[in-house]
Amino acid sequence: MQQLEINKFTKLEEIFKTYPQTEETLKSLSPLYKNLETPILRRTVTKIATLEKVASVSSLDVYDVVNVLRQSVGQPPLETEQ
Amino acid sequence: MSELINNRQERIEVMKNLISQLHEGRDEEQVRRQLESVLQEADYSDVFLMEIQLMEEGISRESITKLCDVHTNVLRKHLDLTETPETVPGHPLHTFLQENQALLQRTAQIRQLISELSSADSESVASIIDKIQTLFNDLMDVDKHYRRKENLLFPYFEKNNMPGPSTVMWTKHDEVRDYLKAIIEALHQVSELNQAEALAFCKLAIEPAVEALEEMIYKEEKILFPTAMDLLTEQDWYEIYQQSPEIGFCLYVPEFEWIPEGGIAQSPGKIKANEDKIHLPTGMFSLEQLINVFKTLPVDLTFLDAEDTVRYFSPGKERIFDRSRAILGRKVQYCHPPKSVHIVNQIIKDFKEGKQDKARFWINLGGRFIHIAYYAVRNDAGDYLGTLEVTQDLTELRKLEGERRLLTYDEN
Repeated sequence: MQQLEINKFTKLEEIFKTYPQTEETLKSLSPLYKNLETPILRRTVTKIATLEKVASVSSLDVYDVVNVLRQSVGQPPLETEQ
Repeated sequence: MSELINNRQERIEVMKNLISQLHEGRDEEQVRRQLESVLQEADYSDVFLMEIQLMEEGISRESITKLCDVHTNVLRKHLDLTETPETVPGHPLHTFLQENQALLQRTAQIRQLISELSSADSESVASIIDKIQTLFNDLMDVDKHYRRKENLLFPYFEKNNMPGPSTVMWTKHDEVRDYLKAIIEALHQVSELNQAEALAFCKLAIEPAVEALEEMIYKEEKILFPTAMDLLTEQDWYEIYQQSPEIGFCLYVPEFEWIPEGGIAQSPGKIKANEDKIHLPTGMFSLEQLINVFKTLPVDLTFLDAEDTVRYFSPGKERIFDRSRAILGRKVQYCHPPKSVHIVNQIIKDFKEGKQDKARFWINLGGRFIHIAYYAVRNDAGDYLGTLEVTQDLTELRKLEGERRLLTYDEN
């Protein structure tokens, strides 16, 4: 399967499909993400939401979310300096 | 530095270089700042040219589509300065803009409802979700707006060697359509969710979908429509004007006839009343007669075709259920309140499968007795052609007793 570079524009569906292990990693980041266990939510949200959106509804920084997931699949962290 | 970049191609090269960095995962904010420091202004047509050149240089259409929102964001400060073109009522562009206004009203209402959801108790959750669903049904009308762009407007861009809009925007249309469909489907089941789940659904699915739809409106008004105004002649717009009703309108119906500047070069394609006869197996009408026969019928008719699309409604003087021409071309599933759509689907399914030919309801509506009947319309071979809805106020008829054999006019 083609390597998928995870960044803030990547949709959950693509990430979970390419790296299934990231789903548990994401859920561990915030109680809000546990809602993804509800099938109807999972089906629709993963199709539509990007990591940027996912981070924006929690108190997490988008790069923290992106880099935790990148790390879990062996990708180097993205620079976050402004 | 901007004074150095006064050549268009040089300007596009700078944009391309920076946008390419986005493809490599560079932070959007950094790119945005660098771009702003380099460019004093970005012409909307530069964006199209940039997209075309990036595609020619091997960046896939999918990647460009994916980053379409991002590079519009990066260029937003400059694009904000672009004035949305103004046109007269009836002009196809005026119609597109009015439709955008109607869509934005709905998205604003949806955002308001989502904010109410944050503090809603469990009883109000279902009611808020119901309201959101009704608004999403309205948003589905955007399909007609997009189809008019795709089938009537984009061909003029392609003819002028500007394939950017049709390749990139069309894909974005499909994305918005997919989002809306997925959400409407999910909303049927969201009422079973608790407040926290419903809120998560709204934040993570509904908001991004609404943003995608609004983003397209922005691109239209700041990039596509200004370019179209430069590109199309008045006669081109007139062609679009003539063909638009066939696809239908989105939450707005143009009420004004529009004649292009310089008059009409070609004769209108519309059937002229009084001239053309409509021949039927049991007689014939002029178009004018037929229109007015339908207007005179003491029942309200609505017809949807075999693809569940509303194609006609009779313009009764006192229709029981209001109908706007905006519903023409809309899937019937998006014309009904969420609570009753499953009944509509059941009837249509039974008609299509040949299990039933008629379904009747009667209700009390504000003191009136209303009879609503659905009939399967079939050809002689029994093939399903669509469904006819016949609605009638039976209040007065139900009161009749005895006989009236002598001429007596009813009071109006």
